[in-house]
Amino acid sequence: MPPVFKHIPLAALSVSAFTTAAYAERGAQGDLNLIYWQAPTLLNPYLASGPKDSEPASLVLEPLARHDETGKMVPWLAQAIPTLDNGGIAADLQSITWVLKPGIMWSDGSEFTADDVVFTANYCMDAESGCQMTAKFTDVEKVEALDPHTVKISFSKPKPYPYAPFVGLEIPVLQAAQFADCMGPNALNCSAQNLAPIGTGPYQITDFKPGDVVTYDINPHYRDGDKPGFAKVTIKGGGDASGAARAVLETGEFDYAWNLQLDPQVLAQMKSAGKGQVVSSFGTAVERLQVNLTNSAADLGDARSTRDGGAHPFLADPRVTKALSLAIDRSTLIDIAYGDAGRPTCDVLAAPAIYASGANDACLTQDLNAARALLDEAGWTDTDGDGIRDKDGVSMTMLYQTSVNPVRQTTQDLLKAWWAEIGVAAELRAIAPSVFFGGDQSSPDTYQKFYADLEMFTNFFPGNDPEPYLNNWACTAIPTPENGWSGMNVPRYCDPDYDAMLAKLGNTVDIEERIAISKQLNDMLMQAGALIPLVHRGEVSAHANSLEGVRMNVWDSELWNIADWTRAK
Amino acid sequence: MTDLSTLNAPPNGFWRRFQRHKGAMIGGGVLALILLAVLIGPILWPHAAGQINVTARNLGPSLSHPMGTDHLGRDLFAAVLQGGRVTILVGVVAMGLSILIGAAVGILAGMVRWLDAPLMRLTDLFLALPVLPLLLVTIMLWRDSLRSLFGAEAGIFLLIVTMIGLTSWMQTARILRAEVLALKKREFVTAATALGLRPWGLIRRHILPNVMGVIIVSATLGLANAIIIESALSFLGLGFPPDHPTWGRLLFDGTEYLTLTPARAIWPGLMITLTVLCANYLGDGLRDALDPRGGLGRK
Amino acid sequence: MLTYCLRRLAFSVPVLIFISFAIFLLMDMAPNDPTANLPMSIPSETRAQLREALGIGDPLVTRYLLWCKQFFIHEPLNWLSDLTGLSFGDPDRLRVLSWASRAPVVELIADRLPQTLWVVSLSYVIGILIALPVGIYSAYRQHGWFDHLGSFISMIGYSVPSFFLGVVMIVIFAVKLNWFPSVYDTTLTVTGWDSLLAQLRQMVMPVTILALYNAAQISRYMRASMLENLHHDYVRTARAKGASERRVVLAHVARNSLLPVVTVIALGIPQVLAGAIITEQIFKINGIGALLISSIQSGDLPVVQTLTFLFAVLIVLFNLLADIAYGLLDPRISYD
Repeated sequence: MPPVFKHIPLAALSVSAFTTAAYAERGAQGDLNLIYWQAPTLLNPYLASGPKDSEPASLVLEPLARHDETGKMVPWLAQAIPTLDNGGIAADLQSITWVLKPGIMWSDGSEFTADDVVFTANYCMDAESGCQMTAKFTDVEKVEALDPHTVKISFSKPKPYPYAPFVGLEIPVLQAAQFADCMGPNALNCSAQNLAPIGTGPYQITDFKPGDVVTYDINPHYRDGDKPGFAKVTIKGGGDASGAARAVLETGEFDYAWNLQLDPQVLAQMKSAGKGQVVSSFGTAVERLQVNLTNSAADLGDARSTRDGGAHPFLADPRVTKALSLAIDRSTLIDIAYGDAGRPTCDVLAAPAIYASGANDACLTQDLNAARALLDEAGWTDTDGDGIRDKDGVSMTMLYQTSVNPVRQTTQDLLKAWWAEIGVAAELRAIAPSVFFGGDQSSPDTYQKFYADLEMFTNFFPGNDPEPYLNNWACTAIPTPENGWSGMNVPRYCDPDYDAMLAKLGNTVDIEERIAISKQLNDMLMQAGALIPLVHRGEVSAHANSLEGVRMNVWDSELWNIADWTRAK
Repeated sequence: MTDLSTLNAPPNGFWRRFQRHKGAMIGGGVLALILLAVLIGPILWPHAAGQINVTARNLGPSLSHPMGTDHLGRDLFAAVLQGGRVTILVGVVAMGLSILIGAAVGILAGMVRWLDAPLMRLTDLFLALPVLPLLLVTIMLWRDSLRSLFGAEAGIFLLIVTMIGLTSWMQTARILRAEVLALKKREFVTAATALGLRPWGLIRRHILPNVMGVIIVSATLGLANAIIIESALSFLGLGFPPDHPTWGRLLFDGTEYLTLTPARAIWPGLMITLTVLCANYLGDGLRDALDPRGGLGRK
Repeated sequence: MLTYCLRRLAFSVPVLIFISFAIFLLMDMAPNDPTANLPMSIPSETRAQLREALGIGDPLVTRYLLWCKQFFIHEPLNWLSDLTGLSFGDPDRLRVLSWASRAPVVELIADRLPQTLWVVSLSYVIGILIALPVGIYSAYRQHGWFDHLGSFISMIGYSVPSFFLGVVMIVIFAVKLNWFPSVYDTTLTVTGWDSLLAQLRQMVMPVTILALYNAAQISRYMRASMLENLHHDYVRTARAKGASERRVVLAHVARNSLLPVVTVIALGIPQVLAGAIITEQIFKINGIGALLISSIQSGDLPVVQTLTFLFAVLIVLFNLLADIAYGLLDPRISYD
């Protein structure tokens, strides 16, 4: 097309935008450019490798209910959230019934029905499919369509919190017709389907180059005739976080950049260019030190880092871990390494706000003298004058490991310096993430084997129910050679009282009571010194000043309300 | 350099020709200065590399921090001196390894007739390897295993040095083979063989001294090459870990701070460039001095 | 000549098979886990199932043979059917699939190749166009000011690491001056003058850097080759016969000197492609280099294996081409 004519459609558009109410017209806002520096590689959340895939998929695929930016559940493809009161949840807590909105269409023009929901459940529950969301279907016995617009999910035991299946960005509904041939072992080989799923969302995929770029246009059958505002969306991948931030905040090449964990000063400088703003939102992610309560000495052989190998020479003493925690200046750490993306915390269950205990907040202010006093009290003094405390010939030297990541290495350096001031030495190790978080049984360096004294990483729980998260510290969840080093109880914490309290949580329905028990469980973990929480981590994104309607959401897809986004005039 | 001139091997007038090559003279001088600085610099400089000072973050250049500081208040000059040690050590050891393999293969292929064909096919095979992708893959996959075997710094050092050595000996081997084949036709070698000198004695007494010049040129250029490869690996985040930074790693870490403290990227980059440039000039000068015809005529 | 080519080709096959097996073995022995990048909320049992589904549990030889079958038989057949529109055999045959994206590796590479080829080939062509005249003139006026300047610049181009020069260029031209975009747009299709300009703008920096490096290398070879030829008897003869100086240098010396340089140019192509890995990383071009790096980081072995092997194929192929070109251009060489 000759350049002269290229602007005509645009000009025509802006004239019509001028005469009618722009915000209420589908596709009147032009193009939207997003940058996801960790590029999406496939768009089927059931096989995805994290939010970098499931967020771009959320423009297309939708669940029955989502969480809004405050963490509240909102019905999406369902008419209402089922509760005990409205009869959606059975009195015996063994089933939940969802009623779908009528008249919803897939982007290919066919009708969305309860059969699609049933199909999706069977798709994921097939053990051979490689589906990563099987945990969401724990205890699900049967999913059935009562009529074309009603789905009943039955559980094998009472479920006080039955909202795991089909709530949130990771478990949307797939189109049965499209994925019919992708059951079981075929799931992984259905390239065409996995790269371009058909959905009910505001957009449909026009082109997807894995690891590079996704382009979308409007789903012609989208249920709201006035939405979405933007006619075309492009999600560009590649590069790094600083490049992405620069493209939005400094050069203005893009409208929205995702996941900008950057040095706070660098981000502040970019912000000062005035082209965009930084938004952050806090979910449940907490960067924590896991304390090895068992002995990790290499000469223990197979008993290394197991409860059979005995207690840790000094970290098993809660006074020691408390001293280590008090020596940390969390505010300075956040100033240097996290900025907008972090808040100091002393609880491992730091969010949602109603669940935060706050009983352990003494560690929020650094107190080196109190830390030293605690260590003295525990009998650890520097007897040989080498600057490191010792007792009975054991020196307080710890191996402190984490994954390779600039922010984590900065944290390691800072913590090591602070601990040196109270006479505790730390040897630092940084392991490649693919090994550290990998499940290779032959590698000695996985976080679950924990052949070290301290290790650091972030964990979180999706949605609003902390029960599965708190289950991580049950005695049965301890990684051991017998269970192939699986299980998330990395500190090897085992307390019958904790397990009893967990069982009680599993049988409690009343929300207030559930909150109280959860707080108690958190406090037990903190007082035993199994974990040292460091930073309550938020998600940081940036958007152009001209982009309106962004409601930064850490509980669901950041793009959950993209249909409402508009361009400021 | 002085004992070079006393070597009987290079043709006469070597030292005179070398002195005429200004680039090589300057290059050699600067290279010696850099070596000296990274050797004794860290001992003399008051700031230790890696010393955190949260009150002096992201400073510009000043008298006490001539290159400024990083986001944890660590002195950049100290880091550059310390990093230079590792970078140059990697370069020297990797180059040594590559020369050792190259010389062994080249001389063997030239001396032993039945080994010639298989060794040269092996050389061709190695020349057909995609070096950079292979280096990346190997280091990514193996560094943690070696790290746990030999310790943090030693593990990655061994891996990088071995890999660079293993993938860069082929040119040396080819050149040396050609030299040896040419030497074997010369009268004094034929005479020595006729007099019953054993092959090993022949190599030691006549071949090695005569190819020393070629080996030295290869070594100088190999040093530059090894430093570039190590820096490139570190720049891609696959070289040395952040707690043991080399120049390449410092440059990589500095790129995030380009707008805030550009010095963090510029200085390490300049050091790499300067060292490589000097080594290349030195190698060029030596080659020209050895081969009066000049140029890159032989491959 | 034909038998020579065939013999060289025959030698290439075992080399390639050996290299492909070596690559496979190397990656297989190393600790690696493609599920390591999944969020922590995914339990270990699910991860184990996923590894099973990816076929990691099978013995090495099975996977190697499967890869060979998919790569050497299935992919060429697919390509053939795409090309001709006819179908050969079972259209649903298994292809080499990426672990991360579940897409056929060959298609991933085909998606990324244009970016790489655009940047690399343009920079190579520019590099050659600069290098040849510079090399010729430098040699003709050996030790003149142009020769010294040329040698100095080529030495710089040879010694300054591209990742340093690239970083400096980004600071100056993209961040401070804002002349060029900081993110390479792979969706850009050239439809008119505007988009052509945009495409050129985003290619300026990477192409400049690669071109400088290529020019530095090739001009050194060209100069050396010219110097060797300038002192040959035929030059004296040509001059004695009264040919113009211009004709002597360009028609006789330069033409003969080009011979070895052509092989150097052919041999350099795979290296330049591999060198683009770094350039792509600096300028955030989503080409095959970026694909290789991201696949290495996510433990996506099928992609890494295939890409590494393709690089090996390129090297062997261009070695072969260089040999053949040399034979065609230089009638003195006989192939017996």
